[in-house]
Amino acid sequence: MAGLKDQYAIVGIGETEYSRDSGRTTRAMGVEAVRSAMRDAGLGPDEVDGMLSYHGNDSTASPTIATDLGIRLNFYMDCSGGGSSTEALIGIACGVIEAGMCKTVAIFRSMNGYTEARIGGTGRQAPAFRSGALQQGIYGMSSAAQSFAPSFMRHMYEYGTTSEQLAHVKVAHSKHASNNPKAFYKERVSVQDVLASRWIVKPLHLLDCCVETDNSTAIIVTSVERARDMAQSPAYIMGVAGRTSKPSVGYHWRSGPISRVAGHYARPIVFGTAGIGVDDIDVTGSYDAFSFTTMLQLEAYGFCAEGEGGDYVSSGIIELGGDRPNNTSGGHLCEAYTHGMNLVIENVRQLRGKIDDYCPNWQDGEHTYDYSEGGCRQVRDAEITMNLGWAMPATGSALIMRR
Amino acid sequence: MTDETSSYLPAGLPAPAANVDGLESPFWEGTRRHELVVQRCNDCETYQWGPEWICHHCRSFDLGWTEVPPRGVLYSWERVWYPVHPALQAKLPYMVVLVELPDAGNIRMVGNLVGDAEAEVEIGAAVEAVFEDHEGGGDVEPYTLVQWRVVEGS
Ligand SMILES: [Zn+2]
Repeated sequence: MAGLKDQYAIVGIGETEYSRDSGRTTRAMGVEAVRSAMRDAGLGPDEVDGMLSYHGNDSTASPTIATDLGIRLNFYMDCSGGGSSTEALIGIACGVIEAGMCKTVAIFRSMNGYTEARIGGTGRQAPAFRSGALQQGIYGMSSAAQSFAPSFMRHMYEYGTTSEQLAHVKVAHSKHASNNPKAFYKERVSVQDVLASRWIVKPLHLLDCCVETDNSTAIIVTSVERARDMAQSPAYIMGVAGRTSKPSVGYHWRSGPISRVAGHYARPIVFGTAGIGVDDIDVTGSYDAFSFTTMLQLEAYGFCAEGEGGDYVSSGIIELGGDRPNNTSGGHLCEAYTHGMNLVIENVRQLRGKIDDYCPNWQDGEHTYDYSEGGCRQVRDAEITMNLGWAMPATGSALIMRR
Repeated sequence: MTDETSSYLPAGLPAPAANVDGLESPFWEGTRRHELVVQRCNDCETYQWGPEWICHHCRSFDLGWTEVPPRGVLYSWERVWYPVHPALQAKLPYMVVLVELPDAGNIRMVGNLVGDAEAEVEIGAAVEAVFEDHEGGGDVEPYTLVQWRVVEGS
């Protein structure tokens, strides 16, 4: 079997406050997030020698963050990218350690996603319409929501998927966020709240779309041998697939069933390495840039049949207390927008049994499993988690971890 | 096919900027003549859109261009209420559609759907191209966009 199953692990996680007014540079936030992840793992500056980050020209590069932390690097790389980069970079971290280039890698994403470069388009310069954009932007199709909406609409047409069904994704994630002291939106919402919120681009209501926030997040990857000596129990990496793509990326709507997303291609890679199937997964982290992205990916990876995503997400399965909760932190819809990092961080916490909820002794792994508002969000006996990372319909990544 | 001179989206959007390599040029030259011209592989005769260097069917790099009937079927759509470009504030909502061209191997094109942006839309409806002329001015050459209109009674 190809791959590096159970040979690498996530040993540290860190995050800054999730806010809309950081009042700080991406440099200051990046330093805090990586430092927090190093403390979490019990690592000093001499024990981290690799660094990876991703950005959309809205961040601070690794050499600066490392220097600020007193780290001398043997490897670093700062990649362009947004969603789906987290899982891909975790895979790269395993690879560079395996290659002997370095021993322990800190991955970070730092973004003032509300006060500086907003994903939804406002506050950014309109680009000149060239190449792919020439066939879309000139018609007023340029933001992520605008680029993806026809795929979502086509799914509704072909399979009878409804706005009500999709609203359940936001409802579930808002319940999860209500048990998360860090979440930007902690208020529980109803299906009716989602349907009554204003249109952004039909079929997306405002509450079908993720929040935009300022934050930095970090993850530390090392080999299993080193992981055993660290402060936290490791989250073992069973399988990873990174930035897997459909045949056409520039024009993702060009061919094929447009509501079939890149996860269709990542699925055999990530499950093949892990040597398990969907029934073995206890918790999912399906990227929720929009309610629809969560659903389309759950379909693509086989958690339900193609076309049955609407039934799946509205069945209660994805809620805490359901058979396979999704984005138990509240995800991008409610906790914060981090381009995927917080979704992996949450699953690491689930595997440790130390979800930072409102249970008084969560630090000791003591949980009530009472999922009512202001309560617990630890999944009982979470053994295996899966992250389904989304960049766009044509590109996605995936990560399976175990405790 | 219908000729149209008023534009669907408001003035102020950037004009299409042709790439120096000319990859899309036959399309834009065609629209000036009010002809819908798309890529077609010279080896396997597969239609293709948008413009690329390789034929995704046979992997040939020998792509040609051909005129196709300016009509299609609505494949999917969206109604935009929250624009990115500030100029679009003047026209909300507006419709963006994905049109499939059965006469050209079911290639798909993005465009706007002219007419009442809040009217009911049906996937599968027959649509025809509307060639929307823009005068240009200053450094901008005149150009023509391909928009779409529902064929009445379809
Ligand atoms: Zn060909």
